[in-house]
Amino acid sequence: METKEIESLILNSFREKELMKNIELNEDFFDLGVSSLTVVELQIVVEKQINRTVETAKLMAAPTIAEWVELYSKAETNASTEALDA
Amino acid sequence: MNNNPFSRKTQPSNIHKLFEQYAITNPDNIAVKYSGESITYSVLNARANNLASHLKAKNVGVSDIVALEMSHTIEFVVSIIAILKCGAAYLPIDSQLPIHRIEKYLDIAKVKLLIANKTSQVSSLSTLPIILFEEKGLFEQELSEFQSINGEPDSRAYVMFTSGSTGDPKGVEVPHRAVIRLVKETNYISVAETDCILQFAPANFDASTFEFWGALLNGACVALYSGKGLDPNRLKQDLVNNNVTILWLTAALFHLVADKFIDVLRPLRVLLAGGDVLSAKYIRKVINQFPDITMINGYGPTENTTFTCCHKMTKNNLPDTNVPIGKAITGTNVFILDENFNPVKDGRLGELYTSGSGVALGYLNDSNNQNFFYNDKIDTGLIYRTGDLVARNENGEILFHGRKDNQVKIRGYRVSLEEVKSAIVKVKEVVDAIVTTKKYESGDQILVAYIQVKEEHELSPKSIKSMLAKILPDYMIPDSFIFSESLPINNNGKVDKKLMSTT
Repeated sequence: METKEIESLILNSFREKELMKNIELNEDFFDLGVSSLTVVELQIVVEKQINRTVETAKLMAAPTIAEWVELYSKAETNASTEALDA
Repeated sequence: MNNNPFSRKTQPSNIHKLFEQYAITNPDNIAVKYSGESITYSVLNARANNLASHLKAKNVGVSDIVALEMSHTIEFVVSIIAILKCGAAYLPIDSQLPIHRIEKYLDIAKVKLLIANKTSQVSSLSTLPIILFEEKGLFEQELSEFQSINGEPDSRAYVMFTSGSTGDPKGVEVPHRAVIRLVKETNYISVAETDCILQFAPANFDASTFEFWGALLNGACVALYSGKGLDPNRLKQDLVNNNVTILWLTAALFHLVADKFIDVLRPLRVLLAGGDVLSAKYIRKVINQFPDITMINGYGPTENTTFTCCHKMTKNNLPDTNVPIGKAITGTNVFILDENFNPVKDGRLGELYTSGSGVALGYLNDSNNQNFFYNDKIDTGLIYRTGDLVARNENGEILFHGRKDNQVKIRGYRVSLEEVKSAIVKVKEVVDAIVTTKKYESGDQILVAYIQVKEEHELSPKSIKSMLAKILPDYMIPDSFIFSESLPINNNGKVDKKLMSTT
């Protein structure tokens, strides 16, 4: 999956949330009042679409879309999660 | 009314004695699973014996309190059993808390000894006698015999701090009998030796009481969550890899999982959720997807030991619109009363009072607190006033309607808005503040602070968050900040909800 594709996917998922409807790539989402549970929700939504997983702790420590794009670009397609789903 | 659970003569009245009984009768049952390993009841008991003898040598004894840094590790499990064997009580400490708060807890509890990690801030600051988790031998060596204390049913087993309605955190003292009444011979669940419960809640949160002792006092297995914070992928893997059959989730997390990650629940036999109002929609969704699952709405304040009322749901009684908190669990009595302690009629709103063997001994640092009281008109034993407004429906089930005071539930924790506000107004740039909540459809409730900043001063969410992180636990720090020159207050001096919703 292309980095650009990942970026637009993450951006669109985030912007569906009322609090983040105008979020920019480098904006800290915690500054917008996003709770940690919402972060986990977004993680689940994103990972379902791209079938890659990143540790939640890493995502929390990287609270911008730009950083998420980097993390997910580097992440391997997760075979073990697929196995669990099967 | 018979409130004495110990009329059942065969049952020991101490948590550790019950556990020891299983170590004798079912020595080879798996007690704990953690990071790919597992240990049996007899090994766990022998390890706890070894640590207990060491604690005893350090003069830990009856009515002492031992604080321990919480974590999902085998050392933690060995420690709590060892502490109880000495007749002492455990106090789980979240080392991520602001250091002043930890100091306050240790001070209030007059802690005798600390068990912590070498690298944590708790161990470096404290002048208390300390055992380090790194002293592996203490937690791994086995001792076959240790004469554990034969305590009273009323002996203190653990202390957990919770938000008091006036703002200061209060240390709830929970006795052995209260824990035993929660997990043995009760009406809302029957934990079998073949069950495995995930220990997922932070140990300073009283759902952990159910997770640890629900397993270890029933010959079942407790699996320790492999992550630190919430991580959905880890949760899923832990449930599958450990064959977990029983799980407890906070209401908000349950709603999220049911909405977006429902497959994670597939291995479960019983799913408990609580800490806030549950959505009937998601309960129906989960039961429709997994028709053999039992869902339990578990309700109760820490002061009445994890659960006061429970409501069991299966495919045969799907909830309609409101999910009841159900009926009192075994050993607990509930009363819905008006301001004069008279019972209200069914369907009418009243405050929930509770009595029975789940009621805590009281607060460590507030022994005269009026929420614990005696009144023969209600019941003969100690009574706890929950501050929750409820009503009973035509089926005799209780429905939760809200809090009486200025407290809210955030991520499963009870939070006093007053306490958050008083922390904010201590920041020197702040004139005044209002703290309120905002609820999302997902069930996710966040804290919102309206802050009046001093003229010619500036504050950003980031700067105030980092200042508050020094005095408040994570879950009490508002998620959203609105800075303005004036607060949304109407002419009567009351918070104006209309003004707030426009900002």
